[in-house]
Amino acid sequence: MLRQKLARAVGAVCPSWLADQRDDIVQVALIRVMDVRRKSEGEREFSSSYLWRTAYSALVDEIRRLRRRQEVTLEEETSTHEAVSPGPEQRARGHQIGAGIRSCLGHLVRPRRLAVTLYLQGHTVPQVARLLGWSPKRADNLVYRGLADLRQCLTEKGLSP
Amino acid sequence: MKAEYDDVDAMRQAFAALAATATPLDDCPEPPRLWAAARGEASPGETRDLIDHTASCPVCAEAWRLAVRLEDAAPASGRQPVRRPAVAQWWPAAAAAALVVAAMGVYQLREPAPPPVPTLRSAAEAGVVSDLAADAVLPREACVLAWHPEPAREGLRYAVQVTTDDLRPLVEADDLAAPRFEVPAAALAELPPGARILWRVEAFLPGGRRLTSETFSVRIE
Repeated sequence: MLRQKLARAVGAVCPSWLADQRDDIVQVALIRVMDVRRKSEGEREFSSSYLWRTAYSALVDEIRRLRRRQEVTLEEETSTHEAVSPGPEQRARGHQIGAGIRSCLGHLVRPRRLAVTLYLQGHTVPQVARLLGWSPKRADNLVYRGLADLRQCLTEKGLSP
Repeated sequence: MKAEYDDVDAMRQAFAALAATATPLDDCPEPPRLWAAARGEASPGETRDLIDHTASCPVCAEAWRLAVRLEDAAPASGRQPVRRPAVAQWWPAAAAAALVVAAMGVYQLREPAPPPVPTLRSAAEAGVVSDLAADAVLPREACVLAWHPEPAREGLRYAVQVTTDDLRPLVEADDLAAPRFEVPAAALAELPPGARILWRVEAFLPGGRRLTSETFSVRIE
């Protein structure tokens, strides 16, 4: 039962390029849960939330391990992600823009950087407001101004998305 | 929405793609911290620090996105509530408090009695208590709000929100280490003498739990 829940959690978000490691990640998560249960002498009950968090931690640890060792190449990742992989030129350009964004974020004033980073991560403006404890109006304003700063910075670097 | 632009998708993709060639940094946070922040369960200060980290660490940015996806995929029983906007959460209750205050005013005209502290929540619920007397009058040049956690606790961080009596936001502050906040005089400049302001505190415990105070009120000299 525990294993099933952990497998479902890992399976829900495990990137396709990590598919070969999926069972290993579930196993690592299961060992961690069993370890906690053993230390509590079998008394501990685990909420779904706890199990999903444990699965998440095992997944992130594995991603970091592979990234650290650079065991996954960009080619491998994109070939499993997309039916039609971008060509080398397109990839290089995408990487250049990504690096430019990262560099430009470092130059934004902090509130704008926080707002834009969350926005680039796929959050909506209301979510940005919720996560940062801001009013929706303030979040909207900071995303708007932050994106304007980011575009200007990218333009100065000769980049346009 | 004015922040939506055609180039945002391209920027999001380029930002996400950085993870494929990045390596973790030396100071990457433990996954449970990212998990909590991405789900809105961390304090604003902690959340901001972690977002700052993801801005410069593509591997942790990827981990953040995974936490959000997992949040979306989690079964309803396993989900923790995402922290709602503090302001939005507060308004309905604050509106009720304003009504209580108004009703008390009418009541006092008929039968004078010691005014109770206008509250939004029962005292039993509150984990943060005001150090100011009920309806204290504070000078606008030194409008210092003060409180304490009850029972006493160490290592808390606080966020404060202050509005006018008719619920117009005046000032917000967060990530406060000390249980006090001086409302800037500029924020009070437009209020007439004797105006009432409402204030509320959230306390964030080290483990991620959050305590919410009642809504208190004071008057400005």
